[in-house]
Amino acid sequence: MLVLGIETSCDETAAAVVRSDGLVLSDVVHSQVSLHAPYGGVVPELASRDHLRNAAPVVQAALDRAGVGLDAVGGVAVTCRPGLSGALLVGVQLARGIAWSRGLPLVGVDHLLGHLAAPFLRWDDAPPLADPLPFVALLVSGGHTALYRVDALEAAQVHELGATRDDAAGEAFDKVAKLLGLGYPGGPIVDRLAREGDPAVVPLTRPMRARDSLELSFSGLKTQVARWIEADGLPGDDRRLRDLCAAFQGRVIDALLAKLLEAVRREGVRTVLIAGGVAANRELRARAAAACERRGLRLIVPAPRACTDNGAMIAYAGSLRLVAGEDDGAAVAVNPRTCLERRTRKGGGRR
Amino acid sequence: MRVLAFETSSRRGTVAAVEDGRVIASRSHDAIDQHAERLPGLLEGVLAEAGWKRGAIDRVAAGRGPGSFTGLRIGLALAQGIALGLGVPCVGVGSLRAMAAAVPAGVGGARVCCTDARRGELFVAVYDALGAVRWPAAALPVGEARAWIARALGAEPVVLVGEAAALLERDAAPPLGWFQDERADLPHAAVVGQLAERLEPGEHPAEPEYVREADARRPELRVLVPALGDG
Ligand SMILES: Nc1ncnc2c1ncn2[C@@H]1O[C@H](COP(=O)(O)OP(=O)(O)O)[C@@H](O)[C@H]1O
Repeated sequence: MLVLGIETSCDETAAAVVRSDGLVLSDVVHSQVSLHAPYGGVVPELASRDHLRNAAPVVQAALDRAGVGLDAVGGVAVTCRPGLSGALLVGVQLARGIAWSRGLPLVGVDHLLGHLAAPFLRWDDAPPLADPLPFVALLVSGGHTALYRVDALEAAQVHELGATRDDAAGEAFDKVAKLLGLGYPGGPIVDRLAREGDPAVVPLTRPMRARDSLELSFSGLKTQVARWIEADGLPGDDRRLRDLCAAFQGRVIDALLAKLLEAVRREGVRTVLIAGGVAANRELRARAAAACERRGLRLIVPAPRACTDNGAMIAYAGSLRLVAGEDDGAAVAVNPRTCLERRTRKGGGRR
Repeated sequence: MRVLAFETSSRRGTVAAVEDGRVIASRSHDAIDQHAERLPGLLEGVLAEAGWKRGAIDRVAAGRGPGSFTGLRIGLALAQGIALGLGVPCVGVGSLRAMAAAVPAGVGGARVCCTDARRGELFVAVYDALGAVRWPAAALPVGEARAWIARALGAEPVVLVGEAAALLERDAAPPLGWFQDERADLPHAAVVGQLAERLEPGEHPAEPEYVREADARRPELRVLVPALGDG
Protein backbone atom coordinates (compact mmCIF):
# COMPACT_ATOMS: atom_id res chain seq x y z
CA MET A 1 0.00 0.00 0.00
CA LEU A 2 1.15 3.54 -0.72
CA VAL A 3 0.45 6.06 2.03
CA LEU A 4 0.41 9.84 1.83
CA GLY A 5 1.78 11.36 5.04
CA ILE A 6 1.24 14.98 6.08
CA GLU A 7 3.02 16.82 8.90
CA THR A 8 2.39 20.41 10.10
CA SER A 9 2.77 20.16 13.88
CA CYS A 10 5.46 22.79 14.38
CA ASP A 11 7.73 24.64 11.98
CA GLU A 12 8.04 22.23 9.07
CA THR A 13 5.39 21.72 6.40
CA ALA A 14 6.04 18.23 5.11
CA ALA A 15 4.46 15.53 2.97
CA ALA A 16 5.67 12.18 1.69
CA VAL A 17 4.56 9.09 -0.17
CA VAL A 18 5.79 5.93 1.54
CA ARG A 19 5.23 2.26 0.76
CA SER A 20 4.01 0.21 3.69
CA ASP A 21 7.34 -1.66 3.83
CA GLY A 22 9.09 1.62 4.64
CA LEU A 23 10.39 2.56 1.20
CA VAL A 24 10.20 6.34 0.80
CA LEU A 25 9.03 7.29 -2.70
CA SER A 26 9.08 10.99 -2.01
CA ASP A 27 9.72 13.24 0.95
CA VAL A 28 9.15 16.98 0.64
CA VAL A 29 9.91 19.34 3.54
CA HIS A 30 9.37 23.07 3.57
CA SER A 31 11.16 24.49 6.61
CA GLN A 32 10.00 27.67 8.33
CA VAL A 33 13.24 28.14 10.22
CA SER A 34 14.18 31.37 8.44
CA LEU A 35 10.67 32.75 9.02
CA HIS A 36 10.94 32.33 12.80
CA ALA A 37 14.67 33.07 13.10
CA PRO A 38 14.27 36.83 13.72
CA TYR A 39 12.04 36.05 16.73
CA GLY A 40 14.39 33.57 18.36
CA GLY A 41 11.71 30.87 18.41
CA VAL A 42 8.58 29.60 16.71
CA VAL A 43 5.76 32.18 16.55
CA PRO A 44 2.56 30.10 16.46
CA GLU A 45 0.43 32.41 14.31
CA LEU A 46 3.21 32.87 11.77
CA ALA A 47 3.67 29.10 11.69
CA SER A 48 -0.03 28.48 11.00
CA ARG A 49 -0.09 31.07 8.24
CA ASP A 50 2.94 29.60 6.57
CA HIS A 51 1.56 26.06 6.81
CA LEU A 52 -1.62 27.09 5.02
CA ARG A 53 0.39 28.85 2.31
CA ASN A 54 2.52 25.79 1.67
CA ALA A 55 0.66 22.64 2.67
CA ALA A 56 -1.25 22.00 -0.56
CA PRO A 57 1.75 22.71 -2.82
CA VAL A 58 3.97 20.49 -0.64
CA VAL A 59 1.47 17.62 -0.89
CA GLN A 60 1.23 18.07 -4.65
CA ALA A 61 5.04 18.07 -4.90
CA ALA A 62 5.22 14.86 -2.86
CA LEU A 63 2.79 13.14 -5.25
CA ASP A 64 4.61 14.50 -8.30
CA ARG A 65 8.04 13.45 -7.07
CA ALA A 66 6.75 9.99 -6.23
CA GLY A 67 5.37 9.88 -9.76
CA VAL A 68 1.95 8.74 -8.56
CA GLY A 69 -1.56 10.12 -8.54
CA LEU A 70 -3.96 9.85 -5.62
CA ASP A 71 -5.58 6.87 -7.35
CA ALA A 72 -2.44 4.89 -6.48
CA VAL A 73 -2.59 5.93 -2.81
CA GLY A 74 -4.33 3.59 -0.36
CA GLY A 75 -4.66 5.89 2.63
CA VAL A 76 -3.76 9.20 4.23
CA ALA A 77 -1.89 9.68 7.53
CA VAL A 78 -1.65 13.04 9.26
CA THR A 79 -0.02 14.31 12.43
CA CYS A 80 -2.84 15.24 14.81
CA ARG A 81 -0.86 15.53 18.10
CA PRO A 82 1.20 16.81 19.90
CA GLY A 83 2.05 20.27 18.61
CA LEU A 84 0.69 23.77 18.04
CA SER A 85 -3.09 23.43 17.66
CA GLY A 86 -3.39 26.03 14.92
CA ALA A 87 -0.57 24.45 12.95
CA LEU A 88 -1.87 20.89 13.40
CA LEU A 89 -5.31 22.00 12.21
CA VAL A 90 -4.00 23.04 8.82
CA GLY A 91 -2.57 19.61 8.09
CA VAL A 92 -5.55 17.76 9.55
CA GLN A 93 -8.08 19.78 7.54
CA LEU A 94 -6.11 19.40 4.33
CA ALA A 95 -5.74 15.65 4.90
CA ARG A 96 -9.41 15.37 5.74
CA GLY A 97 -10.33 17.08 2.49
CA ILE A 98 -8.05 14.87 0.42
CA ALA A 99 -9.24 11.67 2.09
CA TRP A 100 -12.90 12.65 1.89
CA SER A 101 -12.72 13.65 -1.76
CA ARG A 102 -11.11 10.33 -2.76
CA GLY A 103 -13.00 8.10 -0.33
CA LEU A 104 -9.68 7.12 1.29
CA PRO A 105 -9.17 6.00 4.89
CA LEU A 106 -7.57 8.62 7.14
CA VAL A 107 -5.58 8.03 10.31
CA GLY A 108 -4.28 10.55 12.84
CA VAL A 109 -0.70 9.93 13.96
CA ASP A 110 1.08 10.99 17.14
CA HIS A 111 4.11 13.00 16.05
CA LEU A 112 6.32 11.30 18.63
CA LEU A 113 5.34 7.87 17.33
CA GLY A 114 6.38 9.24 13.95
CA HIS A 115 9.86 10.08 15.24
CA LEU A 116 10.15 6.56 16.65
CA ALA A 117 9.40 5.25 13.13
CA ALA A 118 12.61 6.78 11.77
CA PRO A 119 14.62 3.51 11.81
CA PHE A 120 11.99 1.77 9.68
CA LEU A 121 12.26 4.20 6.78
CA ARG A 122 14.54 3.58 3.86
CA TRP A 123 15.42 5.74 0.94
CA ASP A 124 16.62 4.63 -2.50
CA ASP A 125 16.02 0.89 -2.25
CA ALA A 126 18.53 0.51 0.58
CA PRO A 127 18.14 -2.89 2.22
CA PRO A 128 15.84 -2.86 5.23
CA LEU A 129 17.46 -2.58 8.64
CA ALA A 130 17.52 -5.76 10.73
CA ASP A 131 14.54 -5.69 13.08
CA PRO A 132 15.37 -3.12 15.76
CA LEU A 133 12.54 -4.08 18.15
CA PRO A 134 12.44 -3.86 21.08
CA PHE A 135 14.51 -0.72 21.64
CA VAL A 136 14.97 2.20 23.97
CA ALA A 137 14.71 5.56 22.24
CA LEU A 138 15.99 8.96 23.18
CA LEU A 139 13.91 11.54 21.40
CA VAL A 140 15.63 14.92 21.52
CA SER A 141 14.32 17.84 19.54
CA GLY A 142 13.33 21.46 19.94
CA GLY A 143 9.91 20.56 21.26
CA HIS A 144 10.42 17.21 22.98
CA THR A 145 12.96 15.38 25.09
CA ALA A 146 11.98 11.97 26.40
CA LEU A 147 13.01 8.34 26.74
CA TYR A 148 10.81 5.52 25.49
CA ARG A 149 10.68 1.79 25.51
CA VAL A 150 9.33 0.66 22.13
CA ASP A 151 8.06 -2.90 21.75
CA ALA A 152 6.14 -2.23 18.56
CA LEU A 153 5.33 0.85 16.52
CA GLU A 154 1.90 1.43 17.97
CA ALA A 155 0.85 3.78 20.72
CA ALA A 156 -0.09 1.01 23.17
CA GLN A 157 3.33 -0.62 22.77
CA VAL A 158 5.34 2.52 23.45
CA HIS A 159 6.02 3.68 26.99
CA GLU A 160 7.62 6.84 28.15
CA LEU A 161 10.27 6.08 30.74
CA GLY A 162 11.25 9.64 31.55
CA ALA A 163 11.12 13.10 30.11
CA THR A 164 12.22 16.63 30.65
CA ARG A 165 10.41 18.47 33.39
CA ASP A 166 10.92 21.83 31.73
CA ASP A 167 12.75 22.75 28.54
CA ALA A 168 13.43 20.30 25.74
CA ALA A 169 17.14 19.85 25.05
CA GLY A 170 16.92 21.61 21.67
CA GLU A 171 14.98 24.42 23.32
CA ALA A 172 17.79 24.75 25.88
CA PHE A 173 20.32 25.04 23.06
CA ASP A 174 18.12 27.67 21.42
CA LYS A 175 17.59 29.65 24.62
CA VAL A 176 21.28 29.65 25.54
CA ALA A 177 22.13 30.76 22.01
CA LYS A 178 19.58 33.55 22.44
CA LEU A 179 21.19 34.60 25.75
CA LEU A 180 24.49 34.73 23.92
CA GLY A 181 22.95 36.65 21.02
CA LEU A 182 23.94 33.93 18.58
CA GLY A 183 20.83 33.55 16.43
CA TYR A 184 18.30 30.81 15.80
CA PRO A 185 18.20 27.86 15.76
CA GLY A 186 20.94 27.80 18.34
CA GLY A 187 21.74 24.07 18.34
CA PRO A 188 23.90 23.93 15.22
CA ILE A 189 25.68 27.19 16.15
CA VAL A 190 26.51 26.04 19.69
CA ASP A 191 27.55 22.65 18.30
CA ARG A 192 29.98 24.32 15.89
CA LEU A 193 31.42 26.70 18.51
CA ALA A 194 31.74 23.95 21.13
CA ARG A 195 34.03 21.92 18.90
CA GLU A 196 36.88 24.35 19.49
CA GLY A 197 36.11 25.07 23.12
CA ASP A 198 37.42 23.60 26.36
CA PRO A 199 34.50 22.21 28.36
CA ALA A 200 36.46 22.38 31.63
CA VAL A 201 37.03 26.13 31.75
CA VAL A 202 33.52 27.29 32.65
CA PRO A 203 32.27 25.41 35.72
CA LEU A 204 28.68 24.40 34.99
CA THR A 205 27.12 21.55 36.93
CA ARG A 206 25.24 18.72 35.34
CA PRO A 207 21.48 18.77 35.82
CA MET A 208 19.44 15.97 37.48
CA ARG A 209 22.15 13.78 38.85
CA ALA A 210 19.84 11.53 40.89
CA ARG A 211 20.52 8.06 39.56
CA ASP A 212 17.15 6.56 40.41
CA SER A 213 15.25 8.99 38.22
CA LEU A 214 14.95 9.06 34.46
CA GLU A 215 13.63 12.60 34.54
CA LEU A 216 15.59 15.35 32.84
CA SER A 217 15.76 19.09 33.36
CA PHE A 218 17.56 21.77 31.42
CA SER A 219 16.23 25.06 32.70
CA GLY A 220 18.68 25.08 35.63
CA LEU A 221 21.58 24.78 33.23
CA LYS A 222 20.21 27.66 31.23
CA THR A 223 20.00 29.70 34.45
CA GLN A 224 23.61 28.84 35.25
CA VAL A 225 24.64 30.20 31.87
CA ALA A 226 22.55 33.34 32.45
CA ARG A 227 24.21 33.86 35.89
CA TRP A 228 27.63 33.33 34.41
CA ILE A 229 26.92 35.98 31.79
CA GLU A 230 25.58 38.31 34.49
CA ALA A 231 28.74 37.98 36.52
CA ASP A 232 31.30 37.89 33.73
CA GLY A 233 29.53 39.79 30.99
CA LEU A 234 28.85 38.41 27.55
CA PRO A 235 31.92 36.50 26.48
CA GLY A 236 33.58 38.85 24.06
CA ASP A 237 36.50 36.98 22.70
CA ASP A 238 35.95 33.85 20.69
CA ARG A 239 37.74 31.57 23.09
CA ARG A 240 35.53 32.42 26.09
CA LEU A 241 32.47 31.95 23.93
CA ARG A 242 33.66 28.61 22.64
CA ASP A 243 34.55 27.40 26.14
CA LEU A 244 31.11 28.36 27.42
CA CYS A 245 29.40 26.57 24.53
CA ALA A 246 31.55 23.49 25.09
CA ALA A 247 30.71 23.45 28.81
CA PHE A 248 26.99 23.89 28.23
CA GLN A 249 26.78 21.28 25.48
CA GLY A 250 28.95 18.89 27.47
CA ARG A 251 26.62 19.06 30.49
CA VAL A 252 23.51 18.60 28.33
CA ILE A 253 25.00 15.51 26.76
CA ASP A 254 26.25 14.18 30.11
CA ALA A 255 22.66 14.26 31.30
CA LEU A 256 21.14 12.80 28.14
CA LEU A 257 23.60 9.92 28.00
CA ALA A 258 23.43 9.11 31.70
CA LYS A 259 19.65 8.78 31.57
CA LEU A 260 19.69 6.93 28.26
CA LEU A 261 22.16 4.35 29.50
CA GLU A 262 20.32 3.95 32.77
CA ALA A 263 17.09 3.36 30.85
CA VAL A 264 18.76 0.77 28.63
CA ARG A 265 20.16 -1.00 31.68
CA ARG A 266 16.78 -1.09 33.40
CA GLU A 267 14.87 -2.26 30.36
CA GLY A 268 17.45 -4.87 29.37
CA VAL A 269 17.22 -4.14 25.65
CA ARG A 270 20.17 -4.29 23.27
CA THR A 271 19.18 -1.64 20.73
CA VAL A 272 19.20 2.12 21.17
CA LEU A 273 17.68 4.79 18.94
CA ILE A 274 18.49 8.48 19.07
CA ALA A 275 16.16 10.65 17.00
CA GLY A 276 14.98 14.26 16.77
CA GLY A 277 16.79 17.40 15.62
CA VAL A 278 19.40 17.33 18.41
CA ALA A 279 20.52 13.88 17.17
CA ALA A 280 22.44 15.91 14.58
CA ASN A 281 24.77 17.08 17.38
CA ARG A 282 28.27 15.82 16.71
CA GLU A 283 29.35 15.38 20.31
CA LEU A 284 26.14 13.52 21.17
CA ARG A 285 26.62 11.15 18.25
CA ALA A 286 30.28 10.49 19.02
CA ARG A 287 29.83 9.95 22.74
CA ALA A 288 26.72 7.81 22.29
CA ALA A 289 28.55 5.65 19.75
CA ALA A 290 31.48 5.15 22.11
CA ALA A 291 29.25 4.39 25.09
CA CYS A 292 27.14 1.89 23.14
CA GLU A 293 30.19 0.18 21.71
CA ARG A 294 31.68 -0.27 25.19
CA ARG A 295 28.48 -1.97 26.28
CA GLY A 296 27.96 -4.00 23.12
CA LEU A 297 24.73 -2.16 22.29
CA ARG A 298 23.45 -1.54 18.81
CA LEU A 299 23.03 2.20 18.24
CA ILE A 300 20.77 3.55 15.52
CA VAL A 301 21.02 7.23 14.66
CA PRO A 302 18.99 7.79 11.49
CA ALA A 303 20.15 10.23 8.82
CA PRO A 304 19.33 13.87 9.60
CA ARG A 305 16.41 13.97 7.13
CA ALA A 306 14.83 11.03 8.96
CA CYS A 307 15.55 12.58 12.38
CA THR A 308 14.02 16.01 11.91
CA ASP A 309 10.34 16.59 11.21
CA ASN A 310 9.20 14.99 7.96
CA GLY A 311 6.13 13.46 6.37
CA ALA A 312 7.70 10.06 5.67
CA MET A 313 7.80 9.06 9.34
CA ILE A 314 4.13 10.03 9.70
CA ALA A 315 3.19 8.07 6.59
CA TYR A 316 5.02 4.99 7.85
CA ALA A 317 3.63 5.14 11.39
CA GLY A 318 0.15 5.59 9.90
CA SER A 319 0.63 2.81 7.35
CA LEU A 320 0.70 0.14 10.05
CA ARG A 321 -2.84 1.07 11.05
CA LEU A 322 -4.05 1.65 7.51
CA VAL A 323 -2.79 -1.77 6.40
CA ALA A 324 -4.70 -3.26 9.32
CA GLY A 325 -7.86 -1.69 7.88
CA GLU A 326 -8.22 1.09 10.43
CA ASP A 327 -9.85 4.41 9.52
CA ASP A 328 -10.29 7.32 11.94
CA GLY A 329 -12.33 9.21 9.35
CA ALA A 330 -14.04 12.28 10.73
CA ALA A 331 -12.94 11.36 14.27
CA VAL A 332 -9.36 12.60 13.75
CA ALA A 333 -8.98 15.30 16.38
CA VAL A 334 -6.23 17.78 17.04
CA ASN A 335 -4.68 17.64 20.50
CA PRO A 336 -1.68 19.61 21.81
CA ARG A 337 -0.53 16.65 23.94
CA THR A 338 0.89 13.24 23.11
CA CYS A 339 -1.08 10.02 23.51
CA LEU A 340 2.00 8.00 24.49
CA GLU A 341 1.63 6.65 27.98
CA ARG A 342 3.94 7.28 30.80
CA ARG A 343 5.30 4.37 32.77
CA THR A 344 7.18 4.92 35.97
CA ARG A 345 8.20 2.49 38.62
CA LYS A 346 5.13 3.55 40.51
CA GLY A 347 2.83 2.73 37.62
CA GLY A 348 1.27 4.11 34.49
CA GLY A 349 -0.70 7.16 33.63
CA ARG A 350 -1.11 9.76 31.00
CA ARG A 351 0.87 12.98 30.91
CA MET B 1 -21.57 24.45 -12.54
CA ARG B 2 -21.61 22.67 -9.20
CA VAL B 3 -19.84 24.50 -6.37
CA LEU B 4 -19.21 23.15 -2.90
CA ALA B 5 -18.66 26.06 -0.51
CA PHE B 6 -17.44 26.58 3.06
CA GLU B 7 -17.54 29.63 5.30
CA THR B 8 -15.90 29.46 8.72
CA SER B 9 -14.58 32.96 9.35
CA SER B 10 -17.17 33.84 12.03
CA ARG B 11 -18.69 32.08 15.01
CA ARG B 12 -21.04 30.33 12.58
CA GLY B 13 -19.82 27.59 10.26
CA THR B 14 -21.71 26.91 7.02
CA VAL B 15 -21.45 24.46 4.12
CA ALA B 16 -23.46 24.82 0.91
CA ALA B 17 -24.00 23.20 -2.45
CA VAL B 18 -24.70 25.69 -5.24
CA GLU B 19 -25.58 24.82 -8.82
CA ASP B 20 -25.86 27.43 -11.57
CA GLY B 21 -26.58 30.16 -9.03
CA ARG B 22 -29.16 28.16 -7.11
CA VAL B 23 -28.55 27.05 -3.54
CA ILE B 24 -29.30 23.32 -3.61
CA ALA B 25 -28.51 22.58 0.03
CA SER B 26 -26.92 24.26 3.00
CA ARG B 27 -26.17 23.43 6.62
CA SER B 28 -24.84 25.48 9.50
CA HIS B 29 -23.74 25.24 13.13
CA ASP B 30 -22.88 27.82 15.75
CA ALA B 31 -21.10 25.77 18.39
CA ILE B 32 -18.17 27.77 19.77
CA ASP B 33 -14.74 26.68 18.50
CA GLN B 34 -16.17 23.60 16.81
CA HIS B 35 -15.67 24.29 13.11
CA ALA B 36 -13.18 21.47 12.60
CA GLU B 37 -15.37 18.99 14.47
CA ARG B 38 -18.66 20.01 12.86
CA LEU B 39 -17.67 20.50 9.24
CA PRO B 40 -17.46 16.81 8.27
CA GLY B 41 -21.03 16.18 9.44
CA LEU B 42 -22.38 19.32 7.72
CA LEU B 43 -20.57 18.30 4.55
CA GLU B 44 -22.12 14.83 4.51
CA GLY B 45 -25.54 16.34 5.12
CA VAL B 46 -25.22 18.87 2.31
CA LEU B 47 -23.99 16.29 -0.18
CA ALA B 48 -26.77 13.88 0.70
CA GLU B 49 -29.43 16.55 0.39
CA ALA B 50 -28.01 17.78 -2.90
CA GLY B 51 -27.80 14.19 -4.12
CA TRP B 52 -24.32 14.84 -5.54
CA LYS B 53 -21.53 12.33 -5.88
CA ARG B 54 -18.14 13.73 -4.84
CA GLY B 55 -16.87 13.42 -8.40
CA ALA B 56 -19.68 15.68 -9.64
CA ILE B 57 -18.23 18.74 -7.90
CA ASP B 58 -16.77 21.22 -10.42
CA ARG B 59 -15.38 23.78 -8.04
CA VAL B 60 -14.68 24.24 -4.33
CA ALA B 61 -14.88 27.61 -2.56
CA ALA B 62 -14.29 29.07 0.88
CA GLY B 63 -14.62 32.43 2.60
CA ARG B 64 -11.22 34.11 2.92
CA GLY B 65 -12.09 36.46 5.76
CA PRO B 66 -11.35 38.64 7.46
CA GLY B 67 -12.38 36.81 10.60
CA SER B 68 -11.03 34.40 13.17
CA PHE B 69 -7.54 33.36 12.00
CA THR B 70 -7.97 29.74 13.01
CA GLY B 71 -11.56 29.62 11.78
CA LEU B 72 -10.53 30.83 8.35
CA ARG B 73 -7.83 28.24 8.04
CA ILE B 74 -10.19 25.42 9.01
CA GLY B 75 -12.45 26.15 6.04
CA LEU B 76 -9.74 27.09 3.58
CA ALA B 77 -7.52 24.06 4.29
CA LEU B 78 -10.47 21.68 3.99
CA ALA B 79 -11.54 23.31 0.71
CA GLN B 80 -7.98 23.12 -0.62
CA GLY B 81 -7.74 19.44 0.30
CA ILE B 82 -10.99 18.58 -1.45
CA ALA B 83 -9.99 20.57 -4.54
CA LEU B 84 -6.59 18.89 -4.61
CA GLY B 85 -8.20 15.48 -4.27
CA LEU B 86 -10.74 16.10 -7.01
CA GLY B 87 -8.39 18.02 -9.27
CA VAL B 88 -10.80 20.98 -9.51
CA PRO B 89 -10.20 24.71 -8.92
CA CYS B 90 -10.43 26.20 -5.44
CA VAL B 91 -11.71 29.76 -5.14
CA GLY B 92 -11.50 32.22 -2.25
CA VAL B 93 -14.30 34.73 -1.68
CA GLY B 94 -14.07 37.71 0.65
CA SER B 95 -16.33 37.06 3.64
CA LEU B 96 -17.55 40.67 3.90
CA ARG B 97 -18.14 40.67 0.15
CA ALA B 98 -20.37 37.63 0.59
CA MET B 99 -22.38 39.55 3.19
CA ALA B 100 -22.79 42.48 0.80
CA ALA B 101 -23.95 40.12 -1.93
CA ALA B 102 -26.68 38.80 0.35
CA VAL B 103 -28.41 42.20 0.21
CA PRO B 104 -31.01 42.26 -2.61
CA ALA B 105 -30.25 44.63 -5.48
CA GLY B 106 -33.48 46.53 -4.73
CA VAL B 107 -32.10 47.78 -1.40
CA GLY B 108 -30.42 51.11 -2.13
CA GLY B 109 -27.21 52.53 -0.70
CA ALA B 110 -23.64 51.58 -0.03
CA ARG B 111 -23.31 48.31 1.88
CA VAL B 112 -21.27 48.79 5.03
CA CYS B 113 -20.47 45.23 6.10
CA CYS B 114 -19.28 44.54 9.65
CA THR B 115 -18.17 41.50 11.57
CA ASP B 116 -16.93 41.24 15.15
CA ALA B 117 -13.12 41.44 15.13
CA ARG B 118 -12.86 40.99 18.94
CA ARG B 119 -10.48 43.16 21.00
CA GLY B 120 -12.96 46.02 20.72
CA GLU B 121 -12.73 46.19 16.97
CA LEU B 122 -14.89 45.56 13.92
CA PHE B 123 -13.87 44.32 10.51
CA VAL B 124 -15.51 46.73 8.10
CA ALA B 125 -15.67 46.87 4.30
CA VAL B 126 -17.90 48.90 1.98
CA TYR B 127 -19.39 47.71 -1.33
CA ASP B 128 -21.69 49.47 -3.77
CA ALA B 129 -25.10 48.08 -4.71
CA LEU B 130 -23.53 46.15 -7.62
CA GLY B 131 -20.97 44.49 -5.37
CA ALA B 132 -17.95 46.57 -6.38
CA VAL B 133 -15.60 47.30 -3.50
CA ARG B 134 -15.63 50.89 -2.26
CA TRP B 135 -13.44 50.41 0.82
CA PRO B 136 -11.44 47.24 1.32
CA ALA B 137 -11.67 45.37 4.60
CA ALA B 138 -10.04 47.01 7.63
CA ALA B 139 -10.07 46.47 11.39
CA LEU B 140 -11.48 49.54 13.16
CA PRO B 141 -12.01 50.30 16.86
CA VAL B 142 -15.73 50.07 17.54
CA GLY B 143 -15.82 53.66 18.82
CA GLU B 144 -14.27 55.03 15.64
CA ALA B 145 -16.21 53.01 13.08
CA ARG B 146 -19.12 55.39 12.97
CA ALA B 147 -16.94 58.42 12.24
CA TRP B 148 -15.00 56.40 9.68
CA ILE B 149 -18.22 55.53 7.85
CA ALA B 150 -19.32 59.17 7.86
CA ARG B 151 -15.95 60.29 6.52
CA ALA B 152 -15.88 57.61 3.86
CA LEU B 153 -19.44 57.98 2.62
CA GLY B 154 -20.54 61.50 3.52
CA ALA B 155 -24.25 62.00 3.06
CA GLU B 156 -24.67 58.99 0.75
CA PRO B 157 -27.42 56.54 1.61
CA VAL B 158 -25.96 53.69 3.60
CA VAL B 159 -27.18 50.27 4.65
CA LEU B 160 -25.49 48.47 7.51
CA VAL B 161 -24.94 44.73 7.08
CA GLY B 162 -23.98 42.21 9.74
CA GLU B 163 -25.06 41.39 13.28
CA ALA B 164 -21.90 43.14 14.51
CA ALA B 165 -23.42 46.43 13.30
CA ALA B 166 -25.31 46.28 16.60
CA LEU B 167 -22.02 47.28 18.24
CA LEU B 168 -22.21 50.71 16.57
CA GLU B 169 -24.04 53.43 18.45
CA ARG B 170 -27.20 53.14 16.47
CA ASP B 171 -28.85 56.22 17.92
CA ALA B 172 -26.27 58.62 16.52
CA ALA B 173 -27.43 60.79 13.61
CA PRO B 174 -27.93 60.37 10.73
CA PRO B 175 -29.90 57.16 11.24
CA LEU B 176 -28.52 54.28 9.21
CA GLY B 177 -30.61 51.45 7.75
CA TRP B 178 -29.73 47.97 8.92
CA PHE B 179 -30.34 45.03 6.59
CA GLN B 180 -30.91 41.82 8.52
CA ASP B 181 -31.09 38.34 7.05
CA GLU B 182 -29.71 34.93 7.91
CA ARG B 183 -27.29 35.07 4.99
CA ALA B 184 -26.19 38.64 5.69
CA ASP B 185 -25.91 38.73 9.49
CA LEU B 186 -22.78 36.59 9.27
CA PRO B 187 -20.92 35.41 6.16
CA HIS B 188 -22.70 32.40 4.64
CA ALA B 189 -21.38 29.58 2.43
CA ALA B 190 -24.46 29.75 0.18
CA VAL B 191 -23.47 33.25 -0.97
CA VAL B 192 -19.79 32.32 -1.07
CA GLY B 193 -20.72 29.51 -3.48
CA GLN B 194 -22.86 31.77 -5.65
CA LEU B 195 -20.08 34.34 -5.97
CA ALA B 196 -17.40 31.71 -6.52
CA GLU B 197 -19.18 30.41 -9.58
CA ARG B 198 -18.56 33.70 -11.36
CA LEU B 199 -14.95 34.29 -10.23
CA GLU B 200 -11.78 33.44 -12.13
CA PRO B 201 -9.96 30.89 -9.91
CA GLY B 202 -6.49 32.16 -10.84
CA GLU B 203 -7.40 35.67 -9.71
CA HIS B 204 -9.20 34.61 -6.53
CA PRO B 205 -7.06 32.02 -4.78
CA ALA B 206 -8.34 30.27 -1.67
CA GLU B 207 -5.97 32.24 0.55
CA PRO B 208 -6.90 34.05 3.73
CA GLU B 209 -7.31 37.80 3.95
CA TYR B 210 -6.18 38.28 7.54
CA VAL B 211 -6.18 42.11 7.54
CA ARG B 212 -4.39 41.97 10.89
CA GLU B 213 -0.73 41.13 11.35
CA ALA B 214 0.31 38.18 13.49
CA ASP B 215 1.52 39.24 16.94
CA ALA B 216 5.24 38.68 17.12
CA ARG B 217 8.11 40.48 18.78
CA ARG B 218 11.74 40.44 17.68
CA PRO B 219 14.50 40.09 20.26
CA GLU B 220 17.75 42.06 20.08
CA LEU B 221 20.40 40.08 18.27
CA ARG B 222 24.05 40.89 18.48
CA VAL B 223 26.26 39.59 15.77
CA LEU B 224 29.45 38.11 17.05
CA VAL B 225 29.29 34.62 15.64
CA PRO B 226 32.36 33.87 13.65
CA ALA B 227 31.52 32.78 10.12
CA LEU B 228 30.02 29.33 10.30
CA GLY B 229 31.16 27.20 7.44
CA ASP B 230 30.11 23.60 6.92
CA GLY B 231 31.90 20.78 8.71
N1 LIG C 1 23.88 20.01 15.96
C1 LIG C 1 22.95 20.28 16.86
N2 LIG C 1 23.25 20.31 18.18
C2 LIG C 1 22.30 20.58 19.10
N3 LIG C 1 21.04 20.86 18.81
C3 LIG C 1 20.68 20.87 17.51
C4 LIG C 1 21.62 20.57 16.48
N4 LIG C 1 20.96 20.65 15.30
C5 LIG C 1 19.68 20.98 15.58
N5 LIG C 1 19.51 21.12 16.91
C6 LIG C 1 18.30 21.51 17.62
O1 LIG C 1 17.21 20.68 17.22
C7 LIG C 1 15.99 21.41 17.29
C8 LIG C 1 15.21 21.23 16.00
O2 LIG C 1 14.92 19.88 15.85
P1 LIG C 1 13.51 19.37 15.29
O3 LIG C 1 13.54 17.90 15.29
O4 LIG C 1 13.20 20.11 14.04
O5 LIG C 1 12.65 19.84 16.53
P2 LIG C 1 11.23 20.49 16.69
O6 LIG C 1 10.51 20.30 15.41
O7 LIG C 1 10.66 19.75 17.85
O8 LIG C 1 11.59 21.93 17.01
C9 LIG C 1 16.35 22.84 17.54
O9 LIG C 1 16.09 23.15 18.89
C10 LIG C 1 17.84 22.90 17.24
O10 LIG C 1 18.52 23.90 17.97
